[in-house]
Amino acid sequence: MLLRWAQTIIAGAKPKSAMPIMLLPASELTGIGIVEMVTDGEKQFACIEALSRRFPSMLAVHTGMDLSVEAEAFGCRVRFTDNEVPSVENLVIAGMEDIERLTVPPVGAARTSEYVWAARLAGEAIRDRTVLAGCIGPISLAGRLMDTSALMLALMKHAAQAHALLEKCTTFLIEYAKAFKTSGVDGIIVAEPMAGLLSPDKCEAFSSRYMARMVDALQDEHFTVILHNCGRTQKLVGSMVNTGARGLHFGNAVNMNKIAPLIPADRLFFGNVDPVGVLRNGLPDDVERSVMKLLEDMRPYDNFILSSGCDLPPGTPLANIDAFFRAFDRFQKNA
Amino acid sequence: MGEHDGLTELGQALADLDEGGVEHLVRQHLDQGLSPESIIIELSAGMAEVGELFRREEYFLTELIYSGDIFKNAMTVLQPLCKTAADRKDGGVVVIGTVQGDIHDLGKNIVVTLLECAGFTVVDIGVDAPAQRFVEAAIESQAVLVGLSMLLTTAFDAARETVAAFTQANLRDKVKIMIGGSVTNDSVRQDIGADFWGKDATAAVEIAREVCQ
Repeated sequence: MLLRWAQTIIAGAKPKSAMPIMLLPASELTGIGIVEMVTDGEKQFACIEALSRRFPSMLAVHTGMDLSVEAEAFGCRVRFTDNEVPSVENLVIAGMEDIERLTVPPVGAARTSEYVWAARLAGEAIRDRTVLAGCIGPISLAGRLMDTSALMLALMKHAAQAHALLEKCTTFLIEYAKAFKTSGVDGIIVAEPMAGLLSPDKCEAFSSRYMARMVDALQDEHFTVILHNCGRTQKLVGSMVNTGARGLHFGNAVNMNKIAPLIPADRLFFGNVDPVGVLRNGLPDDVERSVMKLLEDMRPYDNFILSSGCDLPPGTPLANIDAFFRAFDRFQKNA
Repeated sequence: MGEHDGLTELGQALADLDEGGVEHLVRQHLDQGLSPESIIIELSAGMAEVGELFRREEYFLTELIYSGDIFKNAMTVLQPLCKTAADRKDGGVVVIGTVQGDIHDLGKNIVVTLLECAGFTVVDIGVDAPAQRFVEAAIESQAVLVGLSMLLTTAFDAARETVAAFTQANLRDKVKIMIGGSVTNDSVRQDIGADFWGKDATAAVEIAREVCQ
C-alpha cells in the first residue's frame, strides 16, 4: 500500500501527507498504560487502532518504536514504568571478549513476540491506511548491548570486534523484520539514532553498510523500509540514500531546507517537527505555526511527508496532535 | 588532517588522533626533562583543536571520544608526577565541579590536573553537582576559589543558582567564583554573577594563582 501511495505522491498526483511517529499518546485515548502497551501485543494493537480512528488524516500507523525490545531479546534487563519509555538497565557486553560469546536470540524472544503479534493484528484490522512496524537499527542496538562510549571507541580501535557485533545485531534484526513482513504489514521504520553521532565514513562503514543488508533482505514492491536517523545528518544524507531505503526520516536536529535538496526525487523523506520542544511542551498555537512553516518550506518537494522529528514522548497532549493535523488539513485545503 | 597553526608536535598528534604519536611524544618530553604541567598544556591545546574540529563538523562524536581516550591515557602517565607537585600543597584550596544538569567532565578534569600540577589542593566534587554541594565543599575545605564547569547552555541557570547559594550562605565575600567551559564567555560570567571567566585550563590556573596569592 505504501509503495503504491509513494508512486502516486512522487508523481505529484496527490497532495502532501502526514505521519507523526507516535504510539504512547494513545494512553490518553485508551486508558492503557505504557507498561501494558509495550508488554502486551493485543493492548498495543488497541492503541494503534485508537490512533488510526482518532486521526483520519494520518497516512500510516505503526507498532511501538520501543528501542529496548531487541536489546531485551539479547538478554538486557529492561525497566518499565507508566511515565517513561522502557529503558535498558544493564549491558550484556562488558568487554570485547563478550562479543564472541554473544548468542543471537531467536525471533520471539522476550517481548519481540508481542510486537510481531501487535503488527499482525494491526495489519489484519486496519485496511484504510499503511501499517508499519518499528524496530531499532544495527548500530543503535549494538549501542544498547554495550556502553555507548565503549562502542564509539571500538569503532576507532577495535573495528573487527565492532563488525562482529554488528553482524550479530544485523542477523537478528533481519529475521525480526522478516517476521513483521510475514505478519502482513506494509513496511518497517528502522530507528538508527546512533548513526547520527558518526562521521560520514564511519556511518557508511558501521551503519549504512548493515542497513543496506536489511534493505536488500526485506524491501520489495510490497514492503518498504524507512530509515530514521535523528542526529545531525546533513553530511550523512548520501550514506543514508546509499542504503537503498525507500523512505528517509529526519529528526529536528537538522534544517529540512538543507536536507530536502539532497534527497533523490524517487525517495520519500519525512520530518521533522520538534517532538519535545513543540509537540510535547508547546501550546497548540506553537504546533500549528511549526507545521505550517515546515509545510510551506517543503512545498516544492512532492516526496516530502510531514512527520514529527522522533517518537512522541509520553505526556504529549492530544490537543497538540490535534493541532498538528488541524494545521496539516488547513494547508491541504489551501494548497 | 593538516597542520594547525600554533600547535606543538604533541598537540598536533592529539588533534590528528595519532594515539601512538601522543604516547611516544609524552615519554620523549618527560625524558627531556619537560614538566608535566607544560606537557598537559600542549595536550590541552590539542584537545581545544579537537573541539574546534567538532564544532566545524569535521570531527564527530566518535572522534571526540577517541581524543578523550588518548588524553586520558596520557594523563595516567602524567598525573602521578603531578601529584608529587600537589603534595607540596603550597598553592591553596580550590573546589571545582560541573554544575547540576551537566555531566561533561573532560574540561573540568584538565583544569583539576593543571591546578594540582601547579601545587593547588583541589576538591573535585564531580559532575551534575547541586549548588549546595559546592557550598558545603567550600566550607569543609576552606576554599577561597570555586570553579563551575559547564558544556551546556542549559546549565547556565544551575550556575546562577550556585552563585546565589554562596550569597545566601554569606560566603560571597570570602569565596571567589570562576566559570569555564566551551559555552562560556565574559558576558555569561557577568550574567551568572561570577568573578572570573577562564577561557581555557591555563587561564584557570592563572586565576587560581591570582586569587590564592
